[in-house]
Parts: sequence; structure tokens; C-alpha cells
Amino acid sequence: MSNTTVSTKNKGNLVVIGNGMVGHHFVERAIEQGLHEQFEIHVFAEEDRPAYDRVYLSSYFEHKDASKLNLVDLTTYESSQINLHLNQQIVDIDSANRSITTEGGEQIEYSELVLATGSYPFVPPIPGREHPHCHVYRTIADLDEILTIAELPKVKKGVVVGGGLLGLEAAKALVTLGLDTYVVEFAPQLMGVQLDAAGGEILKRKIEALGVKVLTGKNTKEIISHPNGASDDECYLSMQFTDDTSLDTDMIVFSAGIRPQDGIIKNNPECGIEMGGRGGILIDEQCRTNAEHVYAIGECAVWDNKIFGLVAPGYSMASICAAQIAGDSERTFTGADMSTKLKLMGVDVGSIGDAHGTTEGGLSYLYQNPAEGIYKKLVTTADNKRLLGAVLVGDTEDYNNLLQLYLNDIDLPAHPESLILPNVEKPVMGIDNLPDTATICSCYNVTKGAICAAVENGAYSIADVKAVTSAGTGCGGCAPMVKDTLGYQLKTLGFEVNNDLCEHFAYSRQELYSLIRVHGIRTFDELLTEHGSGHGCEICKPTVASILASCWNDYVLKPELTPLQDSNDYYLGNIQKDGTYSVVPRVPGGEITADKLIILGQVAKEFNLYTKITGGQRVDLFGARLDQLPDIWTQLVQAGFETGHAYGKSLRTVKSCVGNDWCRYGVDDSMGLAIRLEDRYKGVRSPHKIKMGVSGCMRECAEAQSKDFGMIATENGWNLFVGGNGGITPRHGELFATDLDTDTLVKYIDRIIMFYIKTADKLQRTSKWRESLDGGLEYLQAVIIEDSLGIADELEAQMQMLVDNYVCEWAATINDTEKLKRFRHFVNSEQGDENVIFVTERDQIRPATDAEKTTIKLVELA
Amino acid sequence: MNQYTICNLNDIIPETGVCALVDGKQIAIFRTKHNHLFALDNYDPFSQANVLSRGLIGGTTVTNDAGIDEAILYVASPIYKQRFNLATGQCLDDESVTLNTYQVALNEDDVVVQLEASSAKLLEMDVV
Ligand code: SRM
Ligand SMILES: Cc1cc2nc3c(=O)[nH]c(=O)nc-3n(C[C@H](O)[C@H](O)[C@H](O)COP(=O)(O)OP(=O)(O)OC[C@H]3O[C@@H](n4cnc5c(N)ncnc54)[C@H](O)[C@@H]3O)c2cc1C
Ligand code: SF4
Ligand code: FES
Repeated sequence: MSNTTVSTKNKGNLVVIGNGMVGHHFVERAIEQGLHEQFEIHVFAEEDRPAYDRVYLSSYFEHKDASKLNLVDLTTYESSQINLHLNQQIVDIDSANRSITTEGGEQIEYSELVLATGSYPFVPPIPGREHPHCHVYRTIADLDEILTIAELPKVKKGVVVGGGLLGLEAAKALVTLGLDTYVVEFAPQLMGVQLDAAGGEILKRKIEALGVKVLTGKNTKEIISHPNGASDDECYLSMQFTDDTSLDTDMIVFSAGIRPQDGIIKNNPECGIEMGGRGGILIDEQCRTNAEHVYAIGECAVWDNKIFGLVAPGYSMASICAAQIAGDSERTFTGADMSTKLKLMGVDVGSIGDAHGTTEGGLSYLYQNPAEGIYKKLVTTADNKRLLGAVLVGDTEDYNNLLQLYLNDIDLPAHPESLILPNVEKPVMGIDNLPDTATICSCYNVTKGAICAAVENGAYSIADVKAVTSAGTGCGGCAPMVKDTLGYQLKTLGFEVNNDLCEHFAYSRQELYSLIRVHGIRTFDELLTEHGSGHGCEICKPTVASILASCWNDYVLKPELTPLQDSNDYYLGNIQKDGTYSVVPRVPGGEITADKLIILGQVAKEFNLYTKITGGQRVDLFGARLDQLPDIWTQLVQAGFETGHAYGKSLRTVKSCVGNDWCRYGVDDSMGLAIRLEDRYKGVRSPHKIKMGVSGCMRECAEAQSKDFGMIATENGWNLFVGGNGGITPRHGELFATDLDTDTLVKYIDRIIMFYIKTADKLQRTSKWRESLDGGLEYLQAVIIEDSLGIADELEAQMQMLVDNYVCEWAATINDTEKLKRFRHFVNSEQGDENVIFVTERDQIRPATDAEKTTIKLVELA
Repeated sequence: MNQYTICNLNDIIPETGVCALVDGKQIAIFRTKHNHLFALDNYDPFSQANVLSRGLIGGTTVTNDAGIDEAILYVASPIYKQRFNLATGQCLDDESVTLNTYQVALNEDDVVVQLEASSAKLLEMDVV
């Protein structure tokens, strides 16, 4: 057949074979280099869809939406006149005449040819592997096939052959599909490439704990299929191992390694393109093959006897190749680091450099914590000066730090083991110690220098840095370092990292607190006139209101203070999405009498409120209109309830277990302590909300360690934990003091809360505050326990003053006709807000959606 | 032009807002600490709730169309915190959103709203 469809016109053809991750990256770089103006670009893809993200392939089992994996913006391809030929396998190359041949026999000439054919999964030559229930794991089509089989009703069990990185990922996928999952590995350990034997063993145990069965050292000799398919007690397949054991299964996924996709060349040796000893297409530093005008990039390419099975090196080759074709011969490929960090089935795994410690004279340092499943190993040079490699299983927090030490040949600290030991102040690699050439983002090969340059050119935010450099937009693993680099460069450029509260006060919250205390300031306007400028705003007003309350505990509804409170504090309820409010009465420690429960139920019923048990051991009543709040609270206050301050930056709840009154294990009265604490600290305004928990024994049913203050009973008194947090960034509280009697405990808590109020930033929870303290936990212990600053008495006195001045804000409000005036929707009408509309769901109200509102209104009109 | 007497000035705590029902419309009226009055829609288009009268008043500087920096006052929605210029209704966080504003004045101690300009605008829109 002749060259009809695509012929060489006035422009030469730049032909790319393969539209995988690397082939696509090449096209993008080619457009950037303007190659689409110089050449007519033709891309041939064997698959039936444009390039997609193989790295996130497994997520397909969760969303089953191939478009979520797509990498190609077809409009860019179109506007740059890229000709993408899907479903077109290339079968031949004629490098002498510079043409290629498609499966259909069509020939296309090329001026430049780029091979980006990737690799294919290796399937060991086991008899029986052609069975339709045997799969590989590389393309969306593969995953569709796996899905079809896994969904057959009799398919219950799945085996992954291969315990490497991809094999474990495939195993995770089978678990997701609900199969009883096995991993069969030929080698004696998992992830033999990246991990040493001990690391592999810990990984194995962790994965087994997740319900996957792991068989190592197993060599499959045959796959026998049951002629009639699966029956009730028989699987579809049986794997026979060389040690004469066997394993029944309903499907098999092979993930026993990849092989470079070099079929076009292997099948056409006359093309003369050289291959590597173990397959693959040989390239030089310019990504050129031995044939003129033919390049190879990505997983099909062999450089210096190595194949790189990761995207980052492939992307480097792609941009180097595009630069080469555009005439920039300076940029060359000089290898790539194969260190990896990933999460496999929820287990963190990291591997850097010489993980096996094979370098002559290298020294290994180990840390092992079998209880928590953590294993860490460092390999250093004989003189202890340089890092050669590392293995991390179960905890990869140190990965970025170690990788930078390794990549940049930085001198190790005197005791290298300190880099991996837990609970020691670790020598952290500050950004300032890194050379400009240090790679921060390995997905997009972005250096510290490149990020700094971008910042210098005006990228002052993370979003800008991402947009300009692409750093952090791949796997996302480098995000913390990108942020640090941005901060570092902003500082270098002389930007002050501004701690001003807002445009009206050139002071931090801590500084304002001192000003207010020292000068005895009692109103916002006084503070603004003397220490601020402008009008004030929604940031400084509530912050100052909170400080004033912390200092003087003036009733938050005092006329001068009311306009400072945001809606929640102003109306003493949490505003909801539809403008109604929630009502949360205090239930100290979660203990409540039947009578009080009945009252809650009666009130909810009378006012038709949605009722829910909160995560804080009390009851939330939702859907109260502004004008209903006083009536609701009048009934509640009469029944002995107080406000629960769910709206305040103040003590929320003290969660408690039932303790030794009832529980057979309880060693102390957790309920009694919880009620005492809740009663003492209720209403105290603080930089952010405060939560406490009390457990009656170490079983910790109250989850006290996740609270700002956690108390756990021991035989000898209370253990106090400080700085715990759930929420956005969970953190366990740190053990602050042990075996305390109740009075000492309360004294310490008084001091810590006041010290927190004095020194924390606005909206800073105790966890972040504790982390921000120079000197850490020991410093805080010194201030509170040893009174190193000599302020303990003052702190206690200030807290006592707040405690003595407590009033229930709702009780005070319902008795004050002036204050009640504001609780109505209209100043000039008794009507309610007609936009507040509820529908019924599960026998209770909820706000109507917009669509529902329209139909409701229509019905009313009709 | 229709005049509506809404309430007494003392019914509005300085530096806060109230909501008035005027000719079937919900209008948020603010009294600043310097006793200036502003009126704009009570409906917050971002949360789709009638809540703006319950927002906090703030001051900032913006560059106006003539390129001049001017000090303005705004209200921040209590729900998702978008800010609206009290004088013009322009949202400071989303250029494409502007609320209706209304004329509000003091007659002795009475707060009076005039609905002329904006309701005419509304009528026009209805016709189109
Ligand atoms: C009602 C409740 C959910 C429920 O239905 O159970 C709830 C509801 C809200 N939570 Fe919560 N949280 C509730 C328990 C929790 C818990 C669990 C707990 O306390 O044990 C947590 C995690 C523990 C923690 O705080 O460390 C929790 C972490 C948060 C956070 C994240 C805080 C953080 O430090 O990351 C926010 C956002 C914030 O405060 O900035 C939040 C904010 C909110 C707000 C105030 C959001 C808002 O502004 O509208 C919700 C409104 C409450 C309302 O309208 O009454 N809520 N919230 C729970 C009320 C407990 C109570 O009785 O007071
Ligand atoms: C499940 C999974 C998870 C992974 N996770 C990670 C990870 O976390 N981190 C990481 O760095 N890497 C990961 N990888 C590896 C990464 O996906 C590859 O390194 C990357 O896809 C290589 O890109 P490539 O373009 O060289 O090859 P491919 O993406 O395989 O693209 C090659 C394309 O060429 C086509 N092709 C081949 N021959 C022909 C022909 N003759 N004619 C036309 N078209 C042809 C193929 O059909 C294919 O579409 C993962 C891979 C898989 C499968
Ligand atoms: S923490 Fe201890 S005392 Fe409290 S309920 Fe649990 S087991 Fe019982
Ligand atoms: S290292 Fe993956 S996004 Fe930067």
C-alpha cells in the first residue's frame, strides 16, 4: 500500500508513537518549544483513548469514571494542530527510508520520530495463564476486564501474582472490589526492589493485618481451570506451586514486573535500531537511538543499561527530547533518582538510594517498633558523613528530609541515627541549607532555584507557584516543602511575614492582649483610637471582643460590646445555612436526668426543632427562628439548663466516660471530675474553642487524648494530656504530668488556659499553640509546673476572677426586655422570614433545597 | 416616590443592622457608630438566606473607577463572610455581584426608607 493519507507536505512530519503519560508530556513540551509550527505532528496511539494518568489508575475502581484520569486537553491538541490517531498500532519502522507502517498497512514518512511506547506487564510463562480469569494491570481496558470478572456472582477470591509495588496496588484494588485477596510472591519478601528483608517483613505483617493473605517464596508451575467453572465448593482456578502446595482462586492478576514495549523493533530487526541486552530501546544522553532522527523516551527506553519505571524520569526524557529536536543540544539526560515514597494499602513506605546497604563499607542504622509496625533504616558511608540510602515502613515523615540529605550530599549530623529516632528533636533540613539545584518537586523536576525564581517574579502564593512551576501538581508529596520554599524566599526578598491582626491593628493578637491588660482597656473604640486606625472589621472586632471577655469577663451582651460579636455570639446560637439558629444547652459531662431529657423533647416538639445527639455528648436542637430563641431558652432556663456556648470560642464540652460508679474497670470518678471541670471553665472566652475529655481508666473510652485537655485516671491519680485535637489536623495530646490529685490538676489547667489565652494567636487551637512554643513541651512544663516565669499566681488569680464572674448569657438575656428586642426578624413587623422553609425527612424538619422551595411556593400559589 | 417610616433610631444599636419589611421586600438597614445610615438588600446571594442585617460592619480602602483610593464601609455576611460595600451594594469578593441599595434618611428620630429609585429599576426589569 502506498503513502496516501498522510504525506510529507511542505512541513516535515514529527511522528510520536505512543500517547501514554510520557508521549503526551512530550507533545506538551513540543508545543512549548514551537515544534508544532516547524513540523506537522502526528501521534499514533494503540489504545482507544488519549493519554491518561496511569499513576492513579487504581482510583478507577472507586469512581469508574475514565474521564477523571484523562490528561489530554483535546482543544489544546486541536489548536496546535496535533493529529492524534487513536486505535492505530504502529507495526514497522523503516529507518533507511524514514517511514513507519500502521497495522492497517498505511505508511507515513517522518522527519523526526519519537518512540514512547512504554512497557507491558510481564506474565510468567505458566501453563494455563490464558484463562479468561487471568489478567494484567496496566490499562483502563485491563481494569474493565477485571471488573467484569470480579462482578460475576461466583467470583469471591482473587490472587495477585507479584508482591512488588504494583502488585500490592493491584491487591488493594481487589480488596476494594470485595474479593478475598491473596498475594503470591516468588521472592522471599515483598517489594524486594525497594525494601530490605526486615522492612519487607514489617510491610507483610501490616498488610496481613488488613486482611490480605501473603504467600512469599511461592513459584507457580501451573494454573488448572475447573472445566465447569466455579461450583459451590470449588473455585474457577487452582494454582499449583513447585513445592506441591496449591491455592484455589476465582481470578488471577499478574503483576510480575514490566518489560519495555519494543515489539516494533524486535519484530523488524532489519530496521537496525539497537536494543538493550534485556530488551528496550537503547538511547544516549540526548535520548537518541542509533538510527538518525529516531528518539526513544519513557519506559521503552534503556539508558546506561537502566530502565526507569516511574513517570518523573520519563517526563525529563520527554522535555529533553523536545529541546533536542528544537535544536537545543545542551540539555541531556543523566539518569534519575529512583527513590520512592508511597502509601500502599494505607501503609506508608519509603525507599531512598541504596536501600539494601550493598555499598562497600556502608554502615546501617536501624530503628524498629514492632508494636506500631514501624521500621526505619539508614545506610551511610563508612565515615558516617553521607547518606547512601534509607528504608522507611509505617512512618515516612522523615522521607523528604532524608531525600534532600541524600540527593545533595549534605553532611550528616554527628549522630545520624537521630534522623530516624522518634521523640527526639530532629535536625531538620531547613530550606536555607539546600543548594539551588536541590529538587523540591520530583514529579515535575522543579528545583529550589526554580521556585525561588518564580517567587521573585511575583508568584507570592502557593497557587501562583503551582501555576508557574507545576511544582506540587503531580503526586502532591512535595507540598510541604514547596510551601517552606515559598516562605523562605518571601523572607529573603524582604517581605515581612506579616503577623498583624488586620489592616486596623498593626499588632498580633498576643500584643493586643498585653496592651488591653496593661492599659486596662475596656472597649473596642478605646483600643482603636489609641492603638489602631480606621473603622474596624469582621476580623478585629470579634477578636478584641474575645480578649476583652478573657481579661474582664464583662457580660458579652454589654451594649458597647454587642456590635463586636459575630452573629453566633450576638444571638447566642450557631447560625445555620438558612439563617436559623441551633440551640445547644449545656449537659456537663454528658450526664442528664430523665426529667431534663423529657424537657428537651418537649421543647423540640413544641417549636418543631430538628433534634440530634452531637459529637460532644449533648443534644442540639436545630431550626430555631430568631424570634423563637427567647421563648425556647425561657423554657430551658426554667428547667435548669444553661447555655452550652456552642457558639463561643470558649469551653465546649468535657466528654466523659461513665467511670468507676458503674464501670467494672473504672479506677476513678471520671464523671465527677468532668462535671467539676465543665462547671469551672464554662463561659471562659479563649483564642479558639477548648474541649476536654476524662476517662476513668486507660481504656480511654472518652477519647481524652484527642482533646485540648485530656485526663485519664490511674491507680495513683490523674494523668494530664495537653494539646490534643480532632478536626482538620488531628493530633494526640502529649502527656504533661502524671498521677495528679484533683486540686493540683485543676491548678495546672487554670494556669495553662490563662497562659494560652495570653500567648496564642487568633483562632489557634491549643495543639497548634503548643507546637508553636519555642522550647516545646518542656518549656510549657517549666512555666506551669516549676513556675519558671514567676507568673503562676497571677494566672491562677486571673482564672479565678473569670470563674467568679460567670453568668449564663441566656439567663441574663431573657430577663432583659431591651436585649430581647433584637430577637425578631423584622424591626417593623412581627412576621417571620418567609424564605425559611422546611421539609420533612426521616420524621424531622430540614431546610428545603432551592428546588424544593420553588415547588412549595408554586403549590401555595395554586 | 414612596416613603416608609421604619423605626426609631434607637431601635438600631450603633454599629449594627436590623432587617425591615418594606413593601414586601426585606431590606437591611445599618447604623454606624458615627450614626450614618445605609440600606441594602437583606438577601445574601451566596448563602441564599435573608441574613445580611446580622453581619458585622467593617471598613477598608478600595480603589474606585477613577483610580483613587477611598475609604468605604462594608457588611460581611454572617454565613460565608463575603463583604458588600454598604454605599453601593458592590460585593468586594466577587465583582459580578451587586446588591440593590436604597435611600434611607432620618426624619427627626424616625428612620425613613424611600423605595422610588430601586423599585422603578425593578419594574423596568420586570417589563424587559
Ligand atoms: C453539632 C456538632 C456536630 C454534631 O452534630 O455532632 C458540631 C457542629 C459544628 N462544628 Fe464541630 N461539631 C461538633 C463536634 C465536633 C467535634 C467532636 C468533639 O468535640 O468531640 C470535633 C473534633 C474535635 C476537635 O474539635 O478537636 C469538631 C471539629 C470542628 C472543627 C475543626 C476544629 C479544628 O481544630 O480543626 C470546626 C471548625 C472550626 O472550629 O474552625 C467545627 C465547627 C463546627 C460548626 C460550629 C461549624 C459552623 O460554624 O457552623 C458546627 C456548628 C454547630 C451548631 O450549629 O450547633 N467543628 N466538631 C458537634 C457539637 C459538639 C457539641 O456538643 O458542642
Ligand atoms: C497501576 C500503576 C501505578 C503506577 N504508579 C506509579 C507511581 O505511583 N509513580 C510513578 O512514578 N509511576 C507509577 N507508575 C508507572 C507509570 O505509569 C509509568 O512510568 C508511565 O506511565 C510511563 O509512561 P510511558 O508513556 O513511557 O508509557 P505508557 O504510559 O505505558 O504509554 C505507552 C503508550 O504507548 C502505546 N503503544 C505501545 N506500543 C505502541 C505501538 N506500537 N503503536 C501505538 N501505540 C503504542 C501504549 O498502548 C501506551 O498507551 C504506575 C503504573 C501503573 C500501571
Ligand atoms: S475508660 Fe475505663 S472506666 Fe471509663 S468506661 Fe472505659 S473502661 Fe470503663
Ligand atoms: S513531587 Fe509529586 S507533585 Fe511534586
